Amino acid sequence: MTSLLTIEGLTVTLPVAGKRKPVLRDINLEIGAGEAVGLVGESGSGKSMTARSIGRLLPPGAQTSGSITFDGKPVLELKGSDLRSYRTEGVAMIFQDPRAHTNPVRSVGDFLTEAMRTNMGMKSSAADARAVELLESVGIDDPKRRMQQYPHQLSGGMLQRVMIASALAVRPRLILADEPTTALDVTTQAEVMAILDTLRREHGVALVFITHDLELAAAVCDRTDVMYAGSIMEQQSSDALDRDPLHPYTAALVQARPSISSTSDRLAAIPGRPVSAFEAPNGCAFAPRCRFAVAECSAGTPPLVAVEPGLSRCIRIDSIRGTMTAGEVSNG
Amino acid sequence: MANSPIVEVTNLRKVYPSKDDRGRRTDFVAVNDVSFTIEPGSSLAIVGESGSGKTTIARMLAGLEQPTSGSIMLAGKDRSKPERGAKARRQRGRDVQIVFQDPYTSLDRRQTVGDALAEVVRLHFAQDKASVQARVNELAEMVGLDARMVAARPKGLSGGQRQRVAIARALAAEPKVLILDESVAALDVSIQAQVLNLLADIREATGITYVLISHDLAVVRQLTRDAIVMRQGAVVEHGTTADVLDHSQSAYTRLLRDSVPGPGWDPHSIDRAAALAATESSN
Amino acid sequence: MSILEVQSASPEPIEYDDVKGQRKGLGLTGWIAVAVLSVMVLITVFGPMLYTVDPDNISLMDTFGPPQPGHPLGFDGQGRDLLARLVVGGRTSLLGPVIVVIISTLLGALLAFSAAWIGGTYDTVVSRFIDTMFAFPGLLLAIIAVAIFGPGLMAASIALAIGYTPFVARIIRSAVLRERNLPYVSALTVQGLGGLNISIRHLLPNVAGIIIAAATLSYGYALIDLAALSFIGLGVQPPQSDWGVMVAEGIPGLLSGYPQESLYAGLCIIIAVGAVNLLGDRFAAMAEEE
Repeated sequence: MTSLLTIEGLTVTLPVAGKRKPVLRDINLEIGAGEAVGLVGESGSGKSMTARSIGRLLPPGAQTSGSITFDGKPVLELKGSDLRSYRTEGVAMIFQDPRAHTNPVRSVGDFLTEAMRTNMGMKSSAADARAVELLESVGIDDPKRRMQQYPHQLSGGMLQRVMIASALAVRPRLILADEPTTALDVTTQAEVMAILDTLRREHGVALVFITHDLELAAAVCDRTDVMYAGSIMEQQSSDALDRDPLHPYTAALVQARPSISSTSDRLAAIPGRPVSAFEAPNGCAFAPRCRFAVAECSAGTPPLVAVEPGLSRCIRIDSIRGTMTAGEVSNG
Repeated sequence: MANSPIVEVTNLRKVYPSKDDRGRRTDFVAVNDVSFTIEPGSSLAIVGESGSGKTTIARMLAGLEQPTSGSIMLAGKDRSKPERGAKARRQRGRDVQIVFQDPYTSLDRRQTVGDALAEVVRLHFAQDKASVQARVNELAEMVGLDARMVAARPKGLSGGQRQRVAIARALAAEPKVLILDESVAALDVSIQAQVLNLLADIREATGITYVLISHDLAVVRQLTRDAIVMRQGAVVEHGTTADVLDHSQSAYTRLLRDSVPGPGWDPHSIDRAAALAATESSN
Repeated sequence: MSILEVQSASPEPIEYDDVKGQRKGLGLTGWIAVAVLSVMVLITVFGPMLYTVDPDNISLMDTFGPPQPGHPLGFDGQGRDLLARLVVGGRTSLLGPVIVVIISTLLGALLAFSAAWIGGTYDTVVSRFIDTMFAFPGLLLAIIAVAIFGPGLMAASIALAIGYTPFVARIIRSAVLRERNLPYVSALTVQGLGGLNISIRHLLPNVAGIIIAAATLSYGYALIDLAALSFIGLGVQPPQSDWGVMVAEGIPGLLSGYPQESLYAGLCIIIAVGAVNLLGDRFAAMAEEE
């Protein structure tokens, strides 16, 4: 399968209080056309920064090394009209807070048709018709009336659907969704995920789905990457993540989460707190919090290696695999 | 002999006057005739999505919002209306306290943790400086804060640490009831687990009663014994948390549960419209 | 690093927004403004002790005289030493606005805090009152005050202060309202901390930055307005020197080819106001960074 998007050895540094600090370390990722990949992590994991790198939305002062290739083109070097077309037909982004990314004084219709009219050169009438079509496809009823409305007249869930519609309007080949449902009610989230999934399959659009919710990513993505402290710790197919985690961090995350079907006396909490790339110690960033850590873990940064059927950055994975989720939680 | 409930809410109602699309006066019913009781040392979850009224109930319990009608009894006293005057509020504060969702705005950013805690200790217990300090250290230890954190301002603390401070501040009043308004929702998963364990430890040590406002069913399951499910101001289901989640009587509760991602989850299989219609017709 | 060290080490992993590379504190422009203003204040306060030329000494032989040893800036239309007049004039020009700022900030803060805290009908009434006060520009009130009480710094300053109060009050009120709506205030309310205590111990320190920014910017406006009043003859009266007065007195000279008096006095006003505005901007930016 030829890959649509390839990230190789991506490292990003940002100026923080006058010093240059790493926020992403050696990110490697491959996404094929129509594939859905999840990026899961806590604060400081670098998941958002990865999305921004792909979307060329890094903050000023960011320096990158490594490469991002989209359909053969070097994303990090694109300029001018190449960059514009990358942002329209290439990659579209959906953010967490739709209200922050919509102009409150422009109507929904304006918002949807602007890119179509400007970048794709569509006539107003054609753009309007397509906008109505898109609103219908994201499950918004009475779309013609909605086109006249303003963002403040729509609920969060509806506005997020409008965002999805606008992302699809320009027929991208890849959608970057950064916590698109985090601010929504859980029932709305389920609806929006269903819509995203359907549209993705219908249009053959690839999806990079960023979230802190491991179960959500696992449920809607073919593959999931678990990130910590600016690096990818594990990558494998989503359904195997909780059964057979390839990294102690993944296992710990799975166990730290309370269960909807049973209570436990105490949750298996991970001591300490999640760190950023620049706070990470030498060696494995997770080592200080890991119950399987040994002296070698702090020696040098572990490489991301192939461990059938995925990738792992744990040097001990072969010996500890299968034992990490040991310890039953009590029912009651 | 049965303990009398520590929280007794009867026919609670909150109505906001508002205007409809055409500018006519109408009424928005945020909380519609809600009743529940909580035994001392137990815990109740109020589950719902946005607009369910769960936060409004929390605010009325805390004395931040005035009910339109209905009654609230806390520790045997009538607390149906917010108090007037600081002294009366202090007395209510000895019965019920609240921890909010956002760790970043729940603390005065100019105050050190130690000062924030001392302020509240002194408010409720007139004591000399040494005793106040000792109590502050006790509270800090109870929630897992070390000396560096106590001397720090909120800026120097992580989200999880700030929530611990907010919990310590609430506990400083030695309340009988603690309202947790989505108090772990903004925390990372690994930190959330730590704070949930902390809350369980505190309950074991003090016998405090929790009222948990949450949309997260797994957190609800972990922390509470009983639950009520709310939709658009009304209770659609109540019972033990285990029963409400495992043997739900309401299509809406089942919808909520089905909407939670997990192994084998298929968002396409959830028929939201049908569940909501079923809920409407059964109400 | 041990687990505990990892936990205590530093606060939240810094997310993108913290990383923008904002200027911290006053920055270069802020400090330049501080330096300029300090120099001006020092010169006007200590200048006359070092530079003892009499600013009121009329010398008709020296009218519009060029700079000479002992008189670095030359003379004005009445043969008075320009530098001496600028230095002494600076005292009223720089001091007058202070009175305006103190009164308007105190009044404005009182109105704003009470309105924001008490809320309800009281807030509505006070807000409408503030809105109506906006209809009366400070300068207009000052002219009326002078008409009633006669010319001079005091009456004009007080009237100007009343005219500025709504500007300050509105800024402070919205800042206090924003602060008051934060959850920690609700938490303290539930704890039973009294309204006055919350206002003084918590709200005030947190909006102090904004109050200082508003006060600084008012100072700049007041400087110009008072100079303008003196310019039209309603403020400081000649022969007392004041930059505004000097600009006016220098007009005949301007028209006959000797612009020095108006020019130097005008420059002093511009530099002072520019520095104050720069400083006020920096204070406002610092208040936002919090």
